Amino acid sequence: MNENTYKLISVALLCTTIAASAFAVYNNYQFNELKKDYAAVLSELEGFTAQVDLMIDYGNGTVTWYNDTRIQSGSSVLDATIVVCGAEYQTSDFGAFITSVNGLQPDSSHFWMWSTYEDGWEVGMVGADQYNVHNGDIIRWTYTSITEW
Amino acid sequence: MDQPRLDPRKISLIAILAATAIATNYLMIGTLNIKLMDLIVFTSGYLMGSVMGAITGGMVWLVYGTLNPFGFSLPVFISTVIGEALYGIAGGFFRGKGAGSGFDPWAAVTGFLLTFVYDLITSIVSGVTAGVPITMALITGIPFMLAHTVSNTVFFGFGFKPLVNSINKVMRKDE
Repeated sequence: MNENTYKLISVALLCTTIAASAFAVYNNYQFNELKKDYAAVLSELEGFTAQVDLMIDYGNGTVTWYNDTRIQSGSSVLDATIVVCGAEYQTSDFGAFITSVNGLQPDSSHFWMWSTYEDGWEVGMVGADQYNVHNGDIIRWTYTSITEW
Repeated sequence: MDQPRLDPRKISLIAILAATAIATNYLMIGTLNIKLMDLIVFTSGYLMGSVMGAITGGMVWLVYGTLNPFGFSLPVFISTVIGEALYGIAGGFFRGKGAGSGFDPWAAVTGFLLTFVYDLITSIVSGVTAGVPITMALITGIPFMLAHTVSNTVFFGFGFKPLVNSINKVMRKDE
């Protein structure tokens, strides 16, 4: 290669460096702007949403956590569960009776039981549709054997 | 002492090239920052020297900058006239480098660098005029700058030699 070719390659590389740097700077700017927007949206959301941790214990050693989940303020445990992982239920005079959580339907010897954590697990004293979740609540669904209960 | 007389053919060529640049600007009004004007001004500088090239660039912006659908701003107008004149001046310095036909890599990289400088100048002036911090003006202008530099790189690379050859052919016919 002659000197002229080297010069041309150098200038061409300079051009691509300028273009790539400009592109990178712009992308970085866009990223930071989106990050700021995201933080602003989150802070606005905090006013009318609650952040909860939801745990599903399938009774066979498998436990799934859905941490820091944002749900609408005033939602019940049932609403939160439906939003987070899906749940089916039947309504009765006593409230909603859960027939499946995350697709797992209990057989005749099991049922789904919910509890909250506050200095230890406390079993829900009302139906899942009767208890409204609050910011910071830790909720557990347990696939429970009738004999154990 | 006899003053060197201006060649009327040169004057008419400046007028034709300036008119072509203005016409293509209005034709391509929808494609923001993608214009054939810079190549035409650069070519005029190449064919007639830096001074004539700068005059062509200035003339184009005198019309296009005044009758501009995006509005008129004096500082921006001055910066674009100066920026466009740079293409003409650089064209003059490029003389003797553009012989032959086909893609010209030197013209392509020159187009890129000139456009980068042009966009830098106009973005800074636009930012200062609009009261926007210069850094912000430069960053938000990057997509437009990239469109301008990339399109000019292509136009200069592929269009410079055919344009020079065509104009030379027409000018020679008139001799």
